[in-house]
Amino acid sequence: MAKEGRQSIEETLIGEALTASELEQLLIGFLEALEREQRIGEKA
Amino acid sequence: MKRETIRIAVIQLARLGDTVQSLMALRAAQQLYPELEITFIAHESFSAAAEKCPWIHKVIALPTEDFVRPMMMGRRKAHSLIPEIAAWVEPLAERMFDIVLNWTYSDASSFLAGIIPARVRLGYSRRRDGSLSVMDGWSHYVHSIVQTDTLQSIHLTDILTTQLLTALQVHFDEPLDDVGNQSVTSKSFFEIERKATVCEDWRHPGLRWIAIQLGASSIDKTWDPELWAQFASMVLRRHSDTRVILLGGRREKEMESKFFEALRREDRSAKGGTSLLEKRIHSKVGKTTFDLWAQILADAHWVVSADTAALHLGTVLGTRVLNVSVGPVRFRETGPYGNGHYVVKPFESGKTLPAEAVYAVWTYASTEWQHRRELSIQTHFENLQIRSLLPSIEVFRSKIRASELGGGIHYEGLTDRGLSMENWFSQVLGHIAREWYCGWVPPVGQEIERTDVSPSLIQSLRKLSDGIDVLDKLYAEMVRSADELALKSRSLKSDLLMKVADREKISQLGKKLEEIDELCERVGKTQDSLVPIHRLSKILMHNLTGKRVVDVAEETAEVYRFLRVGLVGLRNWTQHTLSLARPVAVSTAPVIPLSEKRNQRSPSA
Repeated sequence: MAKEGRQSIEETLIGEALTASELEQLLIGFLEALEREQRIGEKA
Repeated sequence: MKRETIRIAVIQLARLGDTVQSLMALRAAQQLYPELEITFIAHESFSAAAEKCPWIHKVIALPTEDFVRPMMMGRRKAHSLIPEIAAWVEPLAERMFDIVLNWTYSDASSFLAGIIPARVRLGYSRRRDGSLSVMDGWSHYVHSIVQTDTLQSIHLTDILTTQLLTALQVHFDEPLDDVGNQSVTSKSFFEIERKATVCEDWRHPGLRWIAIQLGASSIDKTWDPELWAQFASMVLRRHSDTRVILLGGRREKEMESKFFEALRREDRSAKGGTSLLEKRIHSKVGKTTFDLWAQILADAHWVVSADTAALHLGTVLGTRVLNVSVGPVRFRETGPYGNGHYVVKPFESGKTLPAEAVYAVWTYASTEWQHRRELSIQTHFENLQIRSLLPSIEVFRSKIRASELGGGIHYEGLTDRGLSMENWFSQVLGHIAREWYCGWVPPVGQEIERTDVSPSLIQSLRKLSDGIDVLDKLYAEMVRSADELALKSRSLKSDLLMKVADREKISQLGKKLEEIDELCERVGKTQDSLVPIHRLSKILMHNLTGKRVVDVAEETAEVYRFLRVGLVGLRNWTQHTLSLARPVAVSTAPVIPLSEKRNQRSPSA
């Protein structure tokens, strides 16, 4: 892989852990999206 | 010297076919980076494949049904399931991973990627505020091109492998250089419990077993069971050394019945009873575990399948595959991976693919060792007296490119077809993407022949050429204005407090950028081939990370410089293809005047 390709990668360093409410929102988002995808999958 | 372990979490919440493609990419990466410690996250129903890979450190199965079913039945809300889902996530959050690799490219998986602590995130993720984050180059490409209706020619396995290898090289170390050209596919890819025998005659050395996988991921990608029966009938009637093994899940039981009904109709000797051909078919539909399924696919001489996981599993296990590609399938992205596999598809989407054509392609492919591909597929069809079928189908043969030609898989067309604009562009996009994200490109125009260039393609390319020039000028102007804005705002002490003249200048430059953006939008939408580049510009601009004016301006200039690299690639390909269509002077043999010729005769003649 050529060196220039390195520019295309962005690094995300996690400075601080997620707060309880941020984590809760992401978990809810995860479950709701899973449900949506399941419904679409069953229709197909 | 032992290298430090690199812990990666791979999220693959799609279906089994995607899971197998991800495993192939991981295996390729692990051969170059043996220090990879892989945690693989999959839906419980599709995790069996990963669990059978001894080189995967840990498999975490998501009990999707347990979480989703109560919500779908209206019995529970997402909020009330938090204790259970948090308990499931907990082991993943205990220690920071070096890389979280979300290869699902879906909405749900992006939330999970945002939750798992990691130094580097690849693929879709979520920011702390829940907004979508698409950070790395290949994910931009997937978002703006692969997941849209634009055709592109890079196989998903190649995208995934390159994405991971680039990240490993950028953030960790160079790959091992003493691994040579190891093959990813092998009969030992999975550690499976093998049965002593699958069915009668399974191990007979004089017989060839053809595994037919009925069904597909969706009904529109499924080949009719009646056509499967016609194909099986032709194979069995004309090749006495063959046997057929039918494969499918429990959902394919109805297809299995239709298959046998059609087979009996095909075989006149059946007269309503059991067909003679039926005795040479063994059905395992709805009866296989993952291990048995993999064993059959590994031992069979051929796997013939529509767009299913069997196709990927067959290639991983080193068996040759004939892909019956019907329905809305992009075989260049998800076709059989490796050398010497075949794809047959209808020329026009939505049309029926005749069983005779599939049979003819199979006979051509399975006798390669005899004709060594010196026989064209056209002659082969002619020999079978079905040449009239050729205009309605397309046939491709897979080939892994040498690394100096760009690597990855290429599907070589065997049926002579002029190149459509859409297919031409899909090849160009593959080329541009490698330039963008690998920083290296194979020669322009490789794999395009003079005979591929039709008058309608030339017409479209001439029009495109004008569009490229206009868009490039606009992008250049965007870079200049963004650079000017960056320069101006860099000289300011604060983004909030400044002289009135400075504020006016900045506002003027901001307005200019907006105006150019509007023009880019208009030009970008005028031609199909410019739309993907324009779409990518939107995604890149959406994912800018700067908070200060100077940072945003610098990033904007960078985005449009990057896009101009793509336009240069597009222009080079356009010019190259147009040059192929130009008339070439035929070199004439030296003409010797008759008088000279006469003089050359011997006096006695």
